[in-house]
Amino acid sequence: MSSSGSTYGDIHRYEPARESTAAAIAIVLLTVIEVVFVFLFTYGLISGWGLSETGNMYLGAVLAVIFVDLAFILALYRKEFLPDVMIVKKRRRKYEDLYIREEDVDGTTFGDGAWDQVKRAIYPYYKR
Amino acid sequence: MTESSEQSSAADRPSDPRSDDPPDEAAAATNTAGDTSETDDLEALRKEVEATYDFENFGPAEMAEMSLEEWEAAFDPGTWVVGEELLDRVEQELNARVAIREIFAVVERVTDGEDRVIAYSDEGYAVIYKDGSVEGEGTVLRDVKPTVALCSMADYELMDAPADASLPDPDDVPEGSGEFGNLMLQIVAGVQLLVGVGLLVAWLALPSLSTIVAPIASFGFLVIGFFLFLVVANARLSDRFRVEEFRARLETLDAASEEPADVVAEQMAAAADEGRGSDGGAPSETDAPEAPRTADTADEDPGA
Repeated sequence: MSSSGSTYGDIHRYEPARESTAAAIAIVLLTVIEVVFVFLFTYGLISGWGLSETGNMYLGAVLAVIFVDLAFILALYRKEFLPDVMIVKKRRRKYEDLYIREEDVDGTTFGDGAWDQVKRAIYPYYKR
Repeated sequence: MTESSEQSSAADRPSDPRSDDPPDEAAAATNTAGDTSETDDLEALRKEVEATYDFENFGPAEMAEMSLEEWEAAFDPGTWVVGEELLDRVEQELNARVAIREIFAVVERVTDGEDRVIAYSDEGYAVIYKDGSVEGEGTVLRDVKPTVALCSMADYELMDAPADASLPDPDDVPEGSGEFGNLMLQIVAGVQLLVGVGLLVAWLALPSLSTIVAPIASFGFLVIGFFLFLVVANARLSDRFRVEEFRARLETLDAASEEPADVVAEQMAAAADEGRGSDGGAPSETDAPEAPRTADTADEDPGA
């Protein structure tokens, strides 16, 4: 599986962004909403809406809308407006590679049976 | 996987016991024609093999234990697609995979001399022969191996290759992606920065606005704004470099494919160096065929 000839960082695939019309319309709408709500929040804060109970809740809701909207903008941007790039990377050994062979599927057992486990757990205290 | 010698693992026999076909099925599908005594011998050996090895629990270690005769008795080559048909299938499948950019290579069918399919890029090559053996080196070999294994299975349905199934022309790679998304992100970032600065100024200037929420919110807006501008800058920069690099890679490949005879000759020389001696040997652990991978990233194995 290893490939000694490969160079890390080689670009394996480069597909330009899709930039579909639906995504473009969606991101414009989301941007408009974002701008409006950011200004609304600032205006509300400065004019003291937050001092009354309902106004406070309203401002909180506006802030929530700002963040959720921003999340959707970033998700759309990542998916539709960035190119699809695949780069050769080195795969580091991970914990899950430890028992990768079929016969090692259960790992290494610590003791045989539950009673042995109990004895091993008690032993240090027993010695003391 | 513990494949240590990539270069020498030239012969990948398609008769892979870890694939879907259970061995007893393969044994059942043997041809009944031929010499009766020979058939009896084969039958006896097969029974013996089935008694000796537990195919329900069959791994590389057991594979290494088997002798060549036992191997050939247990796994009938007739159940695998080989020869001309295999090459056709491999060629179509490779073209389809190149078209969806899963494999970065130029695929060619060479008919002068020995019939074979060649796939090569700047990072290696793979030569597929009629008997299903694959040799080569580099990432191309790694990408091609599972394809050959799949194509040698009769019940594998090939992908449809489009008419123009090849890597893109270097000039066709667009210079960076569109600026529209970047523009939208910049608008959002600009507004956040503006509001952040505005809130801070208002907090300092207006006596009526004394709440601690104002500077905190302003700091939050400023951070978001900087972050978004950073995202856009990074996208533009990396885009430019990646396009350049991808073009350069395609151009080297183009230069190579203009003189295919030379490349082929070079490859054949390289192949001759490695030798095809390991073709018929008992399959050892090191050249055990890989299971087909459909991973999304071009990962390298650890400890290469």
